[in-house]
Amino acid sequence: MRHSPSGIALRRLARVNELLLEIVTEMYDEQASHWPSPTAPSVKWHLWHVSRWSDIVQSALLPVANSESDLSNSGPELWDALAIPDEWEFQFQMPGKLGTGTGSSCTEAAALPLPDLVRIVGYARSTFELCEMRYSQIDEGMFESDFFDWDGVRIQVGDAMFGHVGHLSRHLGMIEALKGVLGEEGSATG
Amino acid sequence: MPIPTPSEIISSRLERLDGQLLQAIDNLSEDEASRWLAETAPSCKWHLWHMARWADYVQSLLSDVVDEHSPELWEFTGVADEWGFEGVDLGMWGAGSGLGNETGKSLPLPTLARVRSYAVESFELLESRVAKLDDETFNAAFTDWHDNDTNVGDAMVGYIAHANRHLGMLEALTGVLGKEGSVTV
Repeated sequence: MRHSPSGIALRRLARVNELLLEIVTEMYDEQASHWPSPTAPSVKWHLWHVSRWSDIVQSALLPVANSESDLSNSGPELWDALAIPDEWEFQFQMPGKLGTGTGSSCTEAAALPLPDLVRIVGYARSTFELCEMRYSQIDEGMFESDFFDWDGVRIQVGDAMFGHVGHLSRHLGMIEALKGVLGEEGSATG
Repeated sequence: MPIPTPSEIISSRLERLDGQLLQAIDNLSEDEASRWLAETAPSCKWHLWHMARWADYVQSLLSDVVDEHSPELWEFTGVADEWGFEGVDLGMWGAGSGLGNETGKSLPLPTLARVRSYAVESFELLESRVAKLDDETFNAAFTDWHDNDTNVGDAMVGYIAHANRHLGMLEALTGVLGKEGSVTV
Protein backbone atom coordinates (compact mmCIF):
# COMPACT_ATOMS: atom_id res chain seq x y z
CA MET A 1 0.00 0.00 0.00
CA ARG A 2 1.43 3.37 -0.97
CA HIS A 3 1.31 6.05 1.71
CA SER A 4 1.61 9.69 0.71
CA PRO A 5 4.21 11.71 2.65
CA SER A 6 1.49 13.52 4.64
CA GLY A 7 -0.23 10.18 5.26
CA ILE A 8 3.07 8.77 6.53
CA ALA A 9 3.46 11.68 8.96
CA LEU A 10 -0.08 11.20 10.27
CA ARG A 11 0.16 7.46 10.78
CA ARG A 12 3.56 7.74 12.49
CA LEU A 13 2.27 10.54 14.74
CA ALA A 14 -0.78 8.47 15.70
CA ARG A 15 1.48 5.53 16.54
CA VAL A 16 3.87 7.45 18.79
CA ASN A 17 0.95 9.18 20.54
CA GLU A 18 -0.66 5.80 21.16
CA LEU A 19 2.57 4.38 22.61
CA LEU A 20 3.09 7.42 24.85
CA LEU A 21 -0.38 7.08 26.36
CA GLU A 22 -0.06 3.32 26.67
CA ILE A 23 3.22 3.41 28.57
CA VAL A 24 2.20 6.07 31.10
CA THR A 25 -1.18 4.57 31.89
CA GLU A 26 0.66 1.47 33.10
CA MET A 27 2.42 3.54 35.78
CA TYR A 28 1.54 4.71 39.26
CA ASP A 29 1.70 8.41 40.05
CA GLU A 30 4.63 7.83 42.42
CA GLN A 31 6.66 6.01 39.76
CA ALA A 32 5.87 8.62 37.14
CA SER A 33 6.85 11.47 39.48
CA HIS A 34 10.20 9.98 40.48
CA TRP A 35 13.44 11.67 39.39
CA PRO A 36 16.09 8.89 39.41
CA SER A 37 18.77 11.58 39.66
CA PRO A 38 18.82 15.40 39.60
CA THR A 39 19.77 15.19 35.90
CA ALA A 40 17.00 12.77 34.91
CA PRO A 41 13.54 14.33 34.72
CA SER A 42 10.55 12.22 35.69
CA VAL A 43 8.22 10.40 33.32
CA LYS A 44 5.55 12.93 34.26
CA TRP A 45 7.80 15.79 33.22
CA HIS A 46 8.40 14.15 29.82
CA LEU A 47 4.67 13.62 29.29
CA TRP A 48 3.92 17.24 30.19
CA HIS A 49 6.69 18.38 27.82
CA VAL A 50 5.45 16.38 24.81
CA SER A 51 1.90 17.52 25.53
CA ARG A 52 2.99 21.16 25.55
CA TRP A 53 4.80 20.64 22.25
CA SER A 54 1.80 18.90 20.70
CA ASP A 55 -0.26 21.92 21.73
CA ILE A 56 2.26 24.32 20.16
CA VAL A 57 2.42 22.28 16.95
CA GLN A 58 -1.37 22.01 16.54
CA SER A 59 -1.57 25.74 17.08
CA ALA A 60 1.14 26.50 14.51
CA LEU A 61 -0.43 24.17 11.93
CA LEU A 62 -3.92 25.66 12.24
CA PRO A 63 -3.45 28.40 9.60
CA VAL A 64 -1.87 25.87 7.24
CA ALA A 65 -4.73 23.41 7.73
CA ASN A 66 -7.24 26.23 7.16
CA SER A 67 -5.36 27.41 4.03
CA GLU A 68 -5.09 30.91 5.47
CA SER A 69 -3.19 33.48 3.46
CA ASP A 70 -1.06 34.62 6.41
CA LEU A 71 0.76 31.58 7.76
CA SER A 72 2.68 33.57 10.35
CA ASN A 73 -0.35 33.53 12.68
CA SER A 74 -0.98 30.67 15.08
CA GLY A 75 -4.21 29.30 16.43
CA PRO A 76 -5.08 29.10 20.12
CA GLU A 77 -3.41 26.62 22.43
CA LEU A 78 -5.57 24.32 24.53
CA TRP A 79 -3.33 25.30 27.44
CA ASP A 80 -4.89 28.78 27.38
CA ALA A 81 -8.27 27.99 25.82
CA LEU A 82 -9.06 25.47 28.55
CA ALA A 83 -7.48 27.62 31.27
CA ILE A 84 -5.20 24.78 32.32
CA PRO A 85 -2.70 27.06 34.12
CA ASP A 86 -5.54 28.24 36.38
CA GLU A 87 -6.77 24.72 36.96
CA TRP A 88 -3.27 23.52 37.82
CA GLU A 89 -2.51 26.70 39.79
CA PHE A 90 0.44 27.59 37.59
CA GLN A 91 0.84 31.22 38.61
CA PHE A 92 4.32 31.83 37.22
CA GLN A 93 6.23 32.21 34.00
CA MET A 94 6.38 28.85 32.28
CA PRO A 95 9.96 27.63 31.81
CA GLY A 96 11.80 27.10 28.55
CA LYS A 97 11.09 27.94 24.95
CA LEU A 98 7.41 28.83 24.38
CA GLY A 99 6.64 27.54 27.86
CA THR A 100 7.37 23.95 26.85
CA GLY A 101 10.36 23.33 29.11
CA THR A 102 12.73 23.07 26.14
CA GLY A 103 16.16 24.38 27.06
CA SER A 104 15.30 24.80 30.73
CA SER A 105 17.72 23.52 33.31
CA CYS A 106 17.04 20.40 35.34
CA THR A 107 16.68 22.61 38.42
CA GLU A 108 13.94 24.62 36.74
CA ALA A 109 12.30 21.43 35.46
CA ALA A 110 12.33 19.85 38.93
CA ALA A 111 10.73 22.95 40.43
CA LEU A 112 7.69 22.70 38.15
CA PRO A 113 4.69 21.85 40.38
CA LEU A 114 3.09 19.32 38.06
CA PRO A 115 -0.32 17.97 39.08
CA ASP A 116 -1.10 14.27 39.36
CA LEU A 117 -0.49 11.98 36.40
CA VAL A 118 -4.17 11.60 35.54
CA ARG A 119 -4.52 15.31 34.84
CA ILE A 120 -1.42 15.39 32.65
CA VAL A 121 -2.67 12.34 30.75
CA GLY A 122 -5.94 14.22 30.16
CA TYR A 123 -4.09 17.23 28.72
CA ALA A 124 -1.85 14.89 26.67
CA ARG A 125 -4.83 13.05 25.21
CA SER A 126 -6.50 16.30 24.13
CA THR A 127 -3.41 17.81 22.53
CA PHE A 128 -2.48 14.54 20.79
CA GLU A 129 -5.96 14.25 19.27
CA LEU A 130 -5.98 17.85 18.11
CA CYS A 131 -2.51 17.53 16.61
CA GLU A 132 -3.55 14.38 14.75
CA MET A 133 -6.58 16.26 13.43
CA ARG A 134 -4.34 19.04 12.10
CA TYR A 135 -2.05 16.48 10.43
CA SER A 136 -5.08 14.81 8.82
CA GLN A 137 -6.13 18.14 7.30
CA ILE A 138 -2.83 18.65 5.54
CA ASP A 139 -2.79 17.44 1.96
CA GLU A 140 0.16 16.98 -0.38
CA GLY A 141 0.11 20.58 -1.58
CA MET A 142 0.15 21.96 1.97
CA PHE A 143 2.81 19.42 2.96
CA GLU A 144 5.18 20.91 0.39
CA SER A 145 4.39 24.52 1.26
CA ASP A 146 6.50 26.46 3.72
CA PHE A 147 5.50 28.35 6.84
CA PHE A 148 7.00 29.95 9.93
CA ASP A 149 7.47 27.21 12.47
CA TRP A 150 7.60 27.50 16.26
CA ASP A 151 11.15 28.82 16.07
CA GLY A 152 10.02 31.54 13.66
CA VAL A 153 12.03 29.77 10.97
CA ARG A 154 10.69 29.45 7.45
CA ILE A 155 10.57 25.72 6.88
CA GLN A 156 8.65 23.22 4.80
CA VAL A 157 5.48 22.07 6.54
CA GLY A 158 6.33 18.40 5.89
CA ASP A 159 9.78 18.76 7.42
CA ALA A 160 8.26 20.27 10.56
CA MET A 161 5.67 17.47 10.74
CA PHE A 162 8.34 14.76 10.51
CA GLY A 163 10.44 16.67 13.03
CA HIS A 164 7.63 16.67 15.59
CA VAL A 165 7.22 12.89 15.22
CA GLY A 166 10.97 12.46 15.76
CA HIS A 167 10.95 14.66 18.86
CA LEU A 168 8.03 12.78 20.40
CA SER A 169 9.71 9.44 19.63
CA ARG A 170 12.82 10.64 21.44
CA HIS A 171 10.85 11.42 24.60
CA LEU A 172 8.96 8.12 24.30
CA GLY A 173 12.38 6.46 24.41
CA MET A 174 13.33 8.48 27.50
CA ILE A 175 10.15 7.32 29.25
CA GLU A 176 10.83 3.70 28.24
CA ALA A 177 14.37 3.89 29.62
CA LEU A 178 13.17 5.44 32.90
CA LYS A 179 10.59 2.70 33.24
CA GLY A 180 13.38 0.17 32.78
CA VAL A 181 15.48 1.91 35.45
CA LEU A 182 12.49 1.61 37.80
CA GLY A 183 12.71 -2.15 37.33
CA GLU A 184 9.67 -2.43 35.08
CA GLU A 185 9.68 -4.42 31.87
CA GLY A 186 9.48 -1.96 29.01
CA SER A 187 10.29 -2.12 25.38
CA ALA A 188 13.90 -1.14 25.84
CA THR A 189 15.10 -4.02 23.71
CA GLY A 190 12.46 -3.21 21.09
CA MET B 1 15.96 27.93 -1.91
CA PRO B 2 14.43 24.87 -3.62
CA ILE B 3 11.76 22.98 -1.71
CA PRO B 4 13.28 19.79 -0.27
CA THR B 5 11.64 16.60 -1.41
CA PRO B 6 10.39 14.09 1.19
CA SER B 7 13.43 11.88 0.51
CA GLU B 8 15.77 14.84 1.05
CA ILE B 9 14.03 15.63 4.34
CA ILE B 10 14.49 12.03 5.50
CA SER B 11 18.12 12.03 4.42
CA SER B 12 18.87 15.22 6.31
CA ARG B 13 17.05 14.06 9.45
CA LEU B 14 18.84 10.71 9.39
CA GLU B 15 22.27 12.37 9.23
CA ARG B 16 21.44 14.65 12.15
CA LEU B 17 20.09 11.75 14.20
CA ASP B 18 23.17 9.59 13.62
CA GLY B 19 25.35 12.48 14.76
CA GLN B 20 23.26 12.84 17.92
CA LEU B 21 23.54 9.11 18.69
CA LEU B 22 27.32 9.27 18.49
CA GLN B 23 27.46 12.50 20.46
CA ALA B 24 25.36 10.96 23.24
CA ILE B 25 27.78 8.06 23.60
CA ASP B 26 30.88 10.24 23.40
CA ASN B 27 30.03 11.76 26.79
CA LEU B 28 30.50 8.41 28.48
CA SER B 29 33.42 6.38 29.78
CA GLU B 30 33.67 2.66 29.02
CA ASP B 31 32.39 1.83 32.48
CA GLU B 32 29.44 4.20 32.25
CA ALA B 33 28.49 3.02 28.78
CA SER B 34 28.63 -0.66 29.80
CA ARG B 35 26.59 -0.34 32.99
CA TRP B 36 23.09 -1.79 33.27
CA LEU B 37 21.33 0.49 35.76
CA ALA B 38 18.76 -2.24 36.45
CA GLU B 39 18.11 -5.72 35.09
CA THR B 40 15.45 -4.09 32.93
CA ALA B 41 17.59 -1.20 31.68
CA PRO B 42 20.08 -2.16 28.97
CA SER B 43 23.36 -0.27 28.86
CA CYS B 44 24.11 2.63 26.55
CA LYS B 45 26.58 0.38 24.73
CA TRP B 46 23.80 -2.12 24.14
CA HIS B 47 21.61 0.63 22.64
CA LEU B 48 24.42 1.80 20.36
CA TRP B 49 25.09 -1.77 19.20
CA HIS B 50 21.36 -2.25 18.57
CA MET B 51 21.22 0.93 16.48
CA ALA B 52 24.32 -0.10 14.55
CA ARG B 53 22.82 -3.52 13.81
CA TRP B 54 19.57 -1.91 12.66
CA ALA B 55 21.37 0.51 10.38
CA ASP B 56 23.38 -2.36 8.91
CA TYR B 57 20.28 -4.51 8.39
CA VAL B 58 18.36 -1.66 6.74
CA GLN B 59 21.26 -0.53 4.53
CA SER B 60 21.39 -4.05 3.13
CA LEU B 61 17.63 -4.04 2.46
CA LEU B 62 17.82 -0.60 0.83
CA SER B 63 20.77 -1.60 -1.32
CA ASP B 64 18.32 -3.62 -3.44
CA VAL B 65 16.26 -0.47 -4.01
CA VAL B 66 18.96 2.08 -4.81
CA ASP B 67 21.95 0.00 -5.84
CA GLU B 68 23.11 -3.55 -6.28
CA HIS B 69 22.48 -5.93 -3.42
CA SER B 70 25.02 -5.53 -0.68
CA PRO B 71 25.28 -7.81 2.38
CA GLU B 72 25.43 -6.66 5.98
CA LEU B 73 28.82 -5.50 7.25
CA TRP B 74 28.18 -7.64 10.34
CA GLU B 75 28.75 -10.83 8.34
CA PHE B 76 30.53 -9.56 5.24
CA THR B 77 33.39 -7.82 7.02
CA GLY B 78 33.59 -10.45 9.74
CA VAL B 79 32.48 -8.29 12.67
CA ALA B 80 30.38 -11.12 14.14
CA ASP B 81 33.35 -13.52 13.98
CA GLU B 82 35.82 -11.03 15.34
CA TRP B 83 33.62 -10.27 18.35
CA GLY B 84 32.81 -13.92 19.07
CA PHE B 85 29.14 -13.70 18.14
CA GLU B 86 28.99 -16.94 16.15
CA GLY B 87 25.93 -18.93 17.22
CA VAL B 88 24.71 -16.21 19.59
CA ASP B 89 20.96 -15.52 19.56
CA LEU B 90 20.52 -11.98 18.27
CA GLY B 91 16.73 -11.81 18.30
CA MET B 92 14.59 -10.60 15.45
CA TRP B 93 16.40 -9.51 12.29
CA GLY B 94 19.63 -10.34 14.08
CA ALA B 95 19.50 -6.87 15.56
CA GLY B 96 18.63 -7.54 19.19
CA SER B 97 14.92 -6.75 18.90
CA GLY B 98 12.71 -8.78 21.21
CA LEU B 99 15.74 -10.44 22.72
CA GLY B 100 14.71 -10.01 26.34
CA ASN B 101 16.86 -8.43 29.01
CA GLU B 102 18.57 -11.58 30.26
CA THR B 103 19.83 -12.59 26.81
CA GLY B 104 20.52 -8.97 25.93
CA LYS B 105 22.78 -8.61 28.94
CA SER B 106 24.72 -11.77 28.07
CA LEU B 107 25.84 -10.53 24.65
CA PRO B 108 29.64 -10.47 24.38
CA LEU B 109 29.90 -6.81 23.39
CA PRO B 110 33.47 -5.60 22.92
CA THR B 111 34.82 -2.21 24.01
CA LEU B 112 32.82 0.93 23.39
CA ALA B 113 35.38 2.10 20.83
CA ARG B 114 34.82 -1.00 18.70
CA VAL B 115 31.04 -0.79 18.93
CA ARG B 116 31.26 2.89 18.01
CA SER B 117 33.46 2.12 15.04
CA TYR B 118 30.94 -0.44 13.73
CA ALA B 119 28.14 2.09 14.33
CA VAL B 120 29.95 4.77 12.34
CA GLU B 121 30.42 2.41 9.37
CA SER B 122 26.81 1.20 9.44
CA PHE B 123 25.40 4.71 9.84
CA GLU B 124 27.49 6.05 6.96
CA LEU B 125 26.48 3.21 4.69
CA LEU B 126 22.80 3.68 5.47
CA GLU B 127 23.09 7.43 4.98
CA SER B 128 24.64 6.85 1.55
CA ARG B 129 21.75 4.55 0.57
CA VAL B 130 19.12 7.00 1.79
CA ALA B 131 20.83 9.89 0.01
CA LYS B 132 20.22 8.04 -3.26
CA LEU B 133 16.45 7.88 -2.77
CA ASP B 134 14.43 9.99 -5.17
CA ASP B 135 10.68 10.50 -5.58
CA GLU B 136 10.30 7.24 -7.44
CA THR B 137 12.23 5.06 -5.01
CA PHE B 138 10.72 6.89 -1.99
CA ASN B 139 7.29 5.82 -3.23
CA ALA B 140 8.38 2.35 -4.38
CA ALA B 141 6.53 -0.63 -2.94
CA PHE B 142 8.43 -2.18 -0.04
CA THR B 143 7.76 -5.05 2.34
CA ASP B 144 9.13 -3.87 5.65
CA TRP B 145 10.67 -5.85 8.52
CA HIS B 146 7.23 -6.46 10.01
CA ASP B 147 6.10 -7.94 6.68
CA ASN B 148 3.85 -4.94 6.10
CA ASP B 149 3.34 -3.95 2.49
CA THR B 150 4.16 -0.28 2.44
CA ASN B 151 6.52 2.03 0.58
CA VAL B 152 10.19 2.82 1.12
CA GLY B 153 9.48 6.32 2.47
CA ASP B 154 7.10 5.07 5.15
CA ALA B 155 9.55 2.38 6.24
CA MET B 156 12.34 4.94 6.53
CA VAL B 157 10.22 7.32 8.63
CA GLY B 158 9.49 4.31 10.85
CA TYR B 159 13.21 3.55 11.05
CA ILE B 160 13.94 7.15 12.13
CA ALA B 161 11.19 7.04 14.77
CA HIS B 162 12.70 3.84 16.18
CA ALA B 163 16.21 5.32 16.20
CA ASN B 164 14.90 8.45 17.92
CA ARG B 165 13.43 6.25 20.65
CA HIS B 166 16.83 4.71 21.29
CA LEU B 167 18.49 8.14 21.19
CA GLY B 168 16.04 9.16 23.92
CA MET B 169 16.91 6.02 25.91
CA LEU B 170 20.61 6.87 25.66
CA GLU B 171 19.93 10.43 26.81
CA ALA B 172 17.74 9.37 29.72
CA LEU B 173 20.31 6.81 30.90
CA THR B 174 23.03 9.45 30.62
CA GLY B 175 20.90 11.67 32.84
CA VAL B 176 20.42 8.88 35.38
CA LEU B 177 24.21 8.47 35.43
CA GLY B 178 24.32 12.05 36.69
CA LYS B 179 25.46 13.72 33.50
CA GLU B 180 23.88 16.76 31.99
CA GLY B 181 22.27 15.53 28.83
CA SER B 182 19.82 16.95 26.38
CA VAL B 183 16.79 15.54 28.15
CA THR B 184 14.97 18.84 28.06
CA VAL B 185 15.26 19.04 24.26
